Amino acid sequence: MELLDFGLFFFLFSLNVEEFEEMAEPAYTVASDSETTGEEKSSSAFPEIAIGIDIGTSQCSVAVWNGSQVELLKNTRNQKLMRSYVTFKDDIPSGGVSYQLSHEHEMLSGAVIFNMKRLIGRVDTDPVVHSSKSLPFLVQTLDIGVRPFIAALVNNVWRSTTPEEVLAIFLVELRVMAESQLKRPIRNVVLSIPVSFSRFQLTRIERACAMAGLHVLRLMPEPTAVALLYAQQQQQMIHDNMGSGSEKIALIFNMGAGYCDAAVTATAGGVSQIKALAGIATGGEDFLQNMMRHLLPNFDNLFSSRGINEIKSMGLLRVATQDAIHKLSFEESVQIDVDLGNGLRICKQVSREEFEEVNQKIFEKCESLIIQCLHDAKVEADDLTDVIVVGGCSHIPKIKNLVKSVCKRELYKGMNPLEAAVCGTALEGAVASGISDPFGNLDLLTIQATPLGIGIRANGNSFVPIIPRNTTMPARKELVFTTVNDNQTEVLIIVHEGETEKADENHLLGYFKISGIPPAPKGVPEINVCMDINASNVLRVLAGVIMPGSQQPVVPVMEVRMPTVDDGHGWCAEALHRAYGSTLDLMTVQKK
Amino acid sequence: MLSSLLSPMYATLPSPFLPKSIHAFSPNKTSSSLRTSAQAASFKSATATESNSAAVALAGSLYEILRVERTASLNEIKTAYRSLAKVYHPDANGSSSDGRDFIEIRNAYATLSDPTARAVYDMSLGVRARRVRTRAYPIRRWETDQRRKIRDYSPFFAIDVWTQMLCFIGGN
Repeated sequence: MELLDFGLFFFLFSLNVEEFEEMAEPAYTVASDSETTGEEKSSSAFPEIAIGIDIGTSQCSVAVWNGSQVELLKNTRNQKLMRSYVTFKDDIPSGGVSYQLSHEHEMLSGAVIFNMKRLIGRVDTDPVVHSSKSLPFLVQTLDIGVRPFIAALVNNVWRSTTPEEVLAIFLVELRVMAESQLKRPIRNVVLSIPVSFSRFQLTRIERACAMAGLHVLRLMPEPTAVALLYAQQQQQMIHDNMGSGSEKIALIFNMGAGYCDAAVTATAGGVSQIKALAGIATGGEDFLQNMMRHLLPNFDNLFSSRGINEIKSMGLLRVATQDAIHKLSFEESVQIDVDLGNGLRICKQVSREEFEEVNQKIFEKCESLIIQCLHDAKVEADDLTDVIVVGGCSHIPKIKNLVKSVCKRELYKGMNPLEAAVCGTALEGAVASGISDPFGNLDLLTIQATPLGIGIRANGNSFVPIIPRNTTMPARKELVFTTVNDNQTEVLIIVHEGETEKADENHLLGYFKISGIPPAPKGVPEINVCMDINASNVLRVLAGVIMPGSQQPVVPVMEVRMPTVDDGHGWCAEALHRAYGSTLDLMTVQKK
Repeated sequence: MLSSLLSPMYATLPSPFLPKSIHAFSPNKTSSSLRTSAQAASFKSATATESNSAAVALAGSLYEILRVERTASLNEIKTAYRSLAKVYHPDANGSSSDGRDFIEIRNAYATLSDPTARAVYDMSLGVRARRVRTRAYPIRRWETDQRRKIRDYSPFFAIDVWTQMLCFIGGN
């Protein structure tokens, strides 16, 4: 029973084997299971266990199911959490997995690219891209909806790169690290992603993985990974006779450097049903930027030219501010004393109160995110069994307090806030690879929900969701539309993803035209739009035309896998509108 | 795959549940109106493909999908849903399902786990089996369910239910 030696890992408890004989799988299930698995699962005799990767805005980690428990992998410097950056100093770029910065300030030389998770898949009109302009490397925007220009300063030359490339370099290092430790090739991965990521951003993450030779088995919203870990912990408690088998409702709040997410999960019997998800692109980076501007009010003017000296000053300020914010989690006030060069020196005492005041808006946003998530889940604070706060910002006292006060509960203590997400992805990796555990430790299932609504543009510039936010996946839903003009023979189906009522304020996923509609008065042809999301989160949009009195589509049905848009999707919707106006519009069918 | 996707899709046309009518009836705002209509549509599509004529054969079908008794408590329904999910969800260990079974299970669960929707559905079963009850709807169910949800209950509910019901049957 060596398997029972769980020592290091707080989230695994000893097992009572007799307890669940019924659930226990026969001893040699691994090989036979693989023959009956679906397309997603490994087809070799020994299924490869997918590793879990948490690529954070500032830190990342890798974990894997080692046969009896989840294990975090360490790099050669014995780190479980590695800084997410890539330096372009030499000919061969290197990342935070293998490379050790000689000094924190090296991060600020202009040659190091970080915060790529904030930049990936965003266009240059995005406010998040604009706020990234204060990073100590080049983020150039033309503000027309194309991808921003990103470059690292190498020997006084701005060398261009892309967030996908930076991420891929980093992922290769993670892969090499995992391969050398696990002594096998790594191909399948489960990655955690922010809730607010659009499907276009997900394709960019998949692209980066493909560049790194990795195949994405699942992209898991971060709080749902935490929810899976929670489900496993609850199962363990039952096995240890410490918990009841009743349904437990938990709120998970996850705030890292770049993103802030909330989820409500209902857990019982190892099944985690995600009831609601909510997320925004706000995180520790925003605290930092607010503080930098607070300490140096003319920050933007001073550093607009972005020469080597400006980058250096900006970097010095960043390090000093970051340091102060960390200290303010444990101290009531902190002294900042930093020489930014060019006769610019900041010497200031900052209190925790001041920090909370400067960032008041962010705290308010976090609060409304939690309230919205509870509301969407149709759950009252009193219904919650546990409240889990994880992520890099979870140590900020104000964050803990606001979650406690909204949820009227003390916080759950059974998880390491920096490792919970990666542990969850590793569990999902094992489950999605078709691995079973004789002790029932992998008798788990996450039933995901859609984080954003998906629908089409209709009724003018309205966004009509077909699959609303928080719909359980896999999902298939449909809605009937009709033409707006008499004898309209074509309609343009423009698919968006998001939450705002105006279609063009949501993410564009793609578009296609249905032609050959028989001439008829407006409102007569029925255009049925069906959206299908499978368990791997692949979205397909189907559209067909039915004329009254017939049950068969009059033209071949269109089936389109989305997203289809690539770079430049920021101005695409506008161009479509300019080219076609309202001639190819649709509207929802009203009650007859 | 395409054809199997399409047949239920077109079987639902024209949908008797239009967002507007649902909206007036639904106690919850916005997104739920669309969801309810879609659920109704997919319920109809599921049943319509199984059997077009015999209404009686449909009786209890959502309960049959979840493999529970008509008198099952909310807890029993939840437990049944979870154990079926562990078998039919495409991510479940050893599952070879493409997800369609799970969607059906999920839709059955969505109706039966919501006291309001379940009451409406139970009545539709009664009507379909030509066992129309004059005494409104089975109140007993409500008491066994979460008390909180009863607050959502409006005094006009009973009337709306019948409007809804007529619409439901008329569209069939």
